Amino acid sequence: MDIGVNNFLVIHLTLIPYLAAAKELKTKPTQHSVKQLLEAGIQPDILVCRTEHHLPTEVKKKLALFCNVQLNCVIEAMDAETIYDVPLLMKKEKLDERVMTKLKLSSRVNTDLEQWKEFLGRLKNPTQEVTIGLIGKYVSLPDAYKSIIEAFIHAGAATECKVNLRLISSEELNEENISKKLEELDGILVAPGFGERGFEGKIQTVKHAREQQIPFFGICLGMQVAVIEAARHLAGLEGASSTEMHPDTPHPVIGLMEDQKQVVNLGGTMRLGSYICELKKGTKAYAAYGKGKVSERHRHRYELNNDYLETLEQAGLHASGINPDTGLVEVIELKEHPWFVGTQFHPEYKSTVLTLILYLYASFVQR
Amino acid sequence: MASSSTKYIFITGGVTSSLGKGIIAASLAKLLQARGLTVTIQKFDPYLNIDPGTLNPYEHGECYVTEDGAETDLDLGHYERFLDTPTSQSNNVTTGRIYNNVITKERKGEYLGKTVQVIPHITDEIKRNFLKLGEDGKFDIVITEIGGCVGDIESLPFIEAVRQVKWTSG
Repeated sequence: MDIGVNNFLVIHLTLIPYLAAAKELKTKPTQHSVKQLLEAGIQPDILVCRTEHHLPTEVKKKLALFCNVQLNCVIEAMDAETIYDVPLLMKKEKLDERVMTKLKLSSRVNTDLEQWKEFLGRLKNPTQEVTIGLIGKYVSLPDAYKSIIEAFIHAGAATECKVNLRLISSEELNEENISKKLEELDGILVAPGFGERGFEGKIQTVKHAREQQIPFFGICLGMQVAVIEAARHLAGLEGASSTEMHPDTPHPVIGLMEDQKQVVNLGGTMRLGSYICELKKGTKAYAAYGKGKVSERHRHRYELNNDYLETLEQAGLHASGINPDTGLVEVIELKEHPWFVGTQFHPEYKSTVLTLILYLYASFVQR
Repeated sequence: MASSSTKYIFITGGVTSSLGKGIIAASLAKLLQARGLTVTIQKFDPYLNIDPGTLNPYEHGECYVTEDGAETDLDLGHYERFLDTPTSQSNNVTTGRIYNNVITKERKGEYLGKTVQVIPHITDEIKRNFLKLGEDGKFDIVITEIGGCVGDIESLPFIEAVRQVKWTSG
């Protein structure tokens, strides 16, 4: 069960704070944290030091001496402009070489980072610029939307477009202030979420995007809100809502999935992970993916209530993506609109640096 | 048993949290992948929730969902975005999951009359999970990010398991 000394390496990530008043980089916190590791019986092989300033050789020597590591194993990790610069910075600092040597590994091929560099080149040299509003209730902690934010970075690189993302709290939005708060946006994304807080603000956001013909992208709850808005204002179903927010709504256009009704525990019981979705030809979703069958990841308990699908279709809201096994509506769009798409799935989870065709996010940014 | 060719890299953090262990782990993995090696990254989180699915996004950021439907730490998102290879439930283990496994085994009678303790039962379960992704020989390198900070009471069993996994040669 144990792996042996030559197959084992410990890297310790630490901070070298800079005291502006003394104009000094301080190594003491690192010495102490390495000491704690040593007390636990672990000698780190490599130190990676986060710092705002370059580490002079004397500082590196001091760290090596007091932390018991080789001088060339003290690696500087300067703050980077984007997280996607970090692999190249670590390459420059030879972190990979140190690891290869210590683990007695040899390269199978010459390091190939061409695609990565191409991505960075496109990211840093945009030819156009758009401003997109992300409307959600967790905006005070941007990490709550990490994958969406990163997907816009990938989509921006793919389309050579700088995406300025403006995070806007849905709780602050109402009928009176909506045009002011959402002015100058080239696109509007209504974020995933749960519960009633900020819900009506999201309805107003969808209404604004629909009426003003602003490109709109709704994800998960964002898609459900778009369905509710269309039900209320296009299909004339007064009081239409989701049974999640309003259990007694006269028109439950969004309802709990059948197999969720018996669920008692809340942990790990949503509809989770990858499912197939079939896209209809001639729709914006089909155009974005360029194919009719896609697989995307999910995290939800509620779905579009198919009893209302015909009414919604007649009102102009179309189901452009359907799960072939259950008939669950995965994608909705408005035809009479430049770009209005809602997805029950989360396309951001599968967005990576190397998927240069980023489907929906890129298609949205290009609008 | 661990495959003899798989190498293990452990990443610990000191001084403060939020230093970006996830980004450093993903960057190192990217560089090793660019040299033709197969690499995966896993994260061990020192909290008692079985997974982050029930955590408030305000507290823990986004809950990242993998292909196989695991609700995981947002660092797994960085791993996938950098490496362009999918992760799974096995790539994110919490203290809660470790204890849950051990207690389930205890109820099944797998420890037969023994007093179940942090050492060796919890640490053995942690070690078993450290090595799991390397077992089928699919990866040349498994990078393990230990969440939290060295010196935290919560991460002590993880740190002890890292110490042990190196020795008692196999």
